[in-house]
Amino acid sequence: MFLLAEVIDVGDLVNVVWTSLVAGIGVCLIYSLAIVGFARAIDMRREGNAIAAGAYFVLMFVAFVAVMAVVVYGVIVMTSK
Amino acid sequence: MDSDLILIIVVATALAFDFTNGFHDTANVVATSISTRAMAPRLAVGYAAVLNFFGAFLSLEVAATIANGIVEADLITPLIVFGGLIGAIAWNLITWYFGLPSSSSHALIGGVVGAAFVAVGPDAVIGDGLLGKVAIPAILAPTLAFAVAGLSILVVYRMVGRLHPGPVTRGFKVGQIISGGLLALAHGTNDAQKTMGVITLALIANGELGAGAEPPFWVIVSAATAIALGTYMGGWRIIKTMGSRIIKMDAAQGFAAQGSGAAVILAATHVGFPLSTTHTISGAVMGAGAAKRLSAVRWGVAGNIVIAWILTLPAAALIGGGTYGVTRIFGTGAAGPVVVSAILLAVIGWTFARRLRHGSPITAAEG
Repeated sequence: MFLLAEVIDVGDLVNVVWTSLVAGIGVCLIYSLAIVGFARAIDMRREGNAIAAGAYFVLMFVAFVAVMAVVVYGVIVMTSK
Repeated sequence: MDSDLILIIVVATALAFDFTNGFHDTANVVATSISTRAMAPRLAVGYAAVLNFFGAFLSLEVAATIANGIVEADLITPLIVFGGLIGAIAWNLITWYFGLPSSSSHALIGGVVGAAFVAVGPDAVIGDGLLGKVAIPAILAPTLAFAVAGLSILVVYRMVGRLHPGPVTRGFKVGQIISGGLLALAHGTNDAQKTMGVITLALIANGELGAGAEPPFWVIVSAATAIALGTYMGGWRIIKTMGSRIIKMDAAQGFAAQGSGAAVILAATHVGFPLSTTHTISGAVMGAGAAKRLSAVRWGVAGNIVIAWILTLPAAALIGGGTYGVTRIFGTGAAGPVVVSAILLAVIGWTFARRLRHGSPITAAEG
């Protein structure tokens, strides 16, 4: 571990690991929420439940916007280097 | 005059390498989108080419690492850079010919290190930089991508597993357009910079720039253009094998693999680790497959990737060092690079002609 710390910035390494995990899993999780909203909104509309369909549509919209925000944030982080 | 001619040859060789990098790595960016039919093939390749171009402008961290962190820039001459580039191109061609998956990044770094070692000796190589900025990230990248994609697809299946497949597939196909775009951007950000770094190294070696300088704007534009053109040309056979022969994936797996691969590459680029997009995406694709079912992954392919990954740095270093030795037979002028370039072009022409005659089973992903 001591040798590793001499040849590599362990802080950078840890940064890469946690950023990748959070970004990768986080984006998939949030996008899945958007899919859930989309699929359930279709189901609810088919069942004639307009209020629930609207709520799921809002979930889809918010999750989709959140994913796009993460993507934009990723690009901003790149341009700031 | 002679040194300017050498510099022109080095820049042209670097851009040729960049073109082949885009051509070879197009599969990494678009293969999953095409195989799940999220995008039409030509559209996917054009989309990736445009985003690769813009990605090259986003960050210069990796270029700085190549130019200053692997070899001692003040000991490097344009002939060393030339030797390194030929080592990288030759190794890429050899692995392509034999159907082995290879990392263009490691080939480039290996080639430059080998040529520098032969020309100057061990003092030219920054051992800590090589280990810390290349070797350790090389192990980390595919492992991390495998883990992130594996965990991501488990989360995805947990969330959408009970829903009707129709809207789920449609939704993830749209998601793949987004994640594929991010991946193309990340690829341009990471890979085009390697060429920028090498050209900058040559400019420093020729006295056009001071040590530690960043790539000039014309270098950024030309590298971005070369990788985008290479991407647009697309290595169709590799796209086919990468997209469907490691695993037969669904849209959710494609989304998870692309998103995870992009996350790892962007995170690494952010701190200046020049990692291999080929191995990162391969790791992510395998992770997305293995998390669903271990037997879904062709593990022979994984073995090939690891073997090629281990061989790339030393093999490219050997060729780079050998090329430098050959060019020095002709002195320190432009004669050596001219002769070596002519031989390389003849070999490339012969190889492509042979491939066209006999078919070209690029089996990068065939186990």
